Amino acid sequence: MNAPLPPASARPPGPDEVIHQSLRLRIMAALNPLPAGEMIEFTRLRALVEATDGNLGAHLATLEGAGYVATEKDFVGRKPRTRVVMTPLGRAAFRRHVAYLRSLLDEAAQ
Amino acid sequence: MSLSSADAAAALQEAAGMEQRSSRLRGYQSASPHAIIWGVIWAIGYMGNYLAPAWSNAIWIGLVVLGTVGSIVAGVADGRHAVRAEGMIELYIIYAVFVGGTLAVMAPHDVRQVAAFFPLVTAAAYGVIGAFGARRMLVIAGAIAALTLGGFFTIGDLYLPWMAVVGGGGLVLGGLWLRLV
Repeated sequence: MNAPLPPASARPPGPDEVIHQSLRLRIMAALNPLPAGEMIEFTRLRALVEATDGNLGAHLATLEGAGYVATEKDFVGRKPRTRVVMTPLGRAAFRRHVAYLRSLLDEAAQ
Repeated sequence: MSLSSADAAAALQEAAGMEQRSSRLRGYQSASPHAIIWGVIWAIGYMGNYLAPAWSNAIWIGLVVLGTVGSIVAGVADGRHAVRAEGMIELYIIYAVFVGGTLAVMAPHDVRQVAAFFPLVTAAAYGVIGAFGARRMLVIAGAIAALTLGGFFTIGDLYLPWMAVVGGGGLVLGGLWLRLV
């Protein structure tokens, strides 16, 4: 969140419409501080972003469709487990979106 | 889609808050196995110290080696890999030098003083981390310090079992709490 602002000419043309939705923004913001490639369990992410199973699943499907996150399903013993990871494409898109938001504030302040 | 600056400010605030929360919880997750490992070490060590005082040095040396290896393994497995493992080793060296140096200079004569000193140093370390925003660490630090000092000044001969059950058990519970979101 503390990256320097891009010059106005380099400002992204608009918000990322996939990320801009409130829960998807929270999901991406929750994943962004994790080290590259680190997965987080679905249940932990659900508690972190304070969403229901169905809601989180639907928004993760949208983010996965855009290539911003990837999910992996496996079993721990007999218990199914779903894990989520932010892709490099998703990380770049999140940074661009944040840069766009900051540029709006920057312009409003001028 | 067009956004107003107010929309942008609200979205940035929401994202920043979530990033901060995620980062803090990730830190707790990293700290959790260390608290659990050392809680178990304390429980075994203090109880061993009470039941077999003649063997206390051997017991503690064995347990500290075991705990250090366990913590290094947990640090490496945590996912932040080499940098974290190196940091862990440095942390243990600093801790060992500080504790060893202080014990040598202050030369306590009572086993209860030594038994209280390690948890108080641990509580101070947790408290320092907690002071920079990790509130759960601050709560654990306060609990360890209160139980250590409370027991020291009120419990006589049963201080070592007290530290085994309440100190070690408390640290394990603290570690489990750190895993929760």
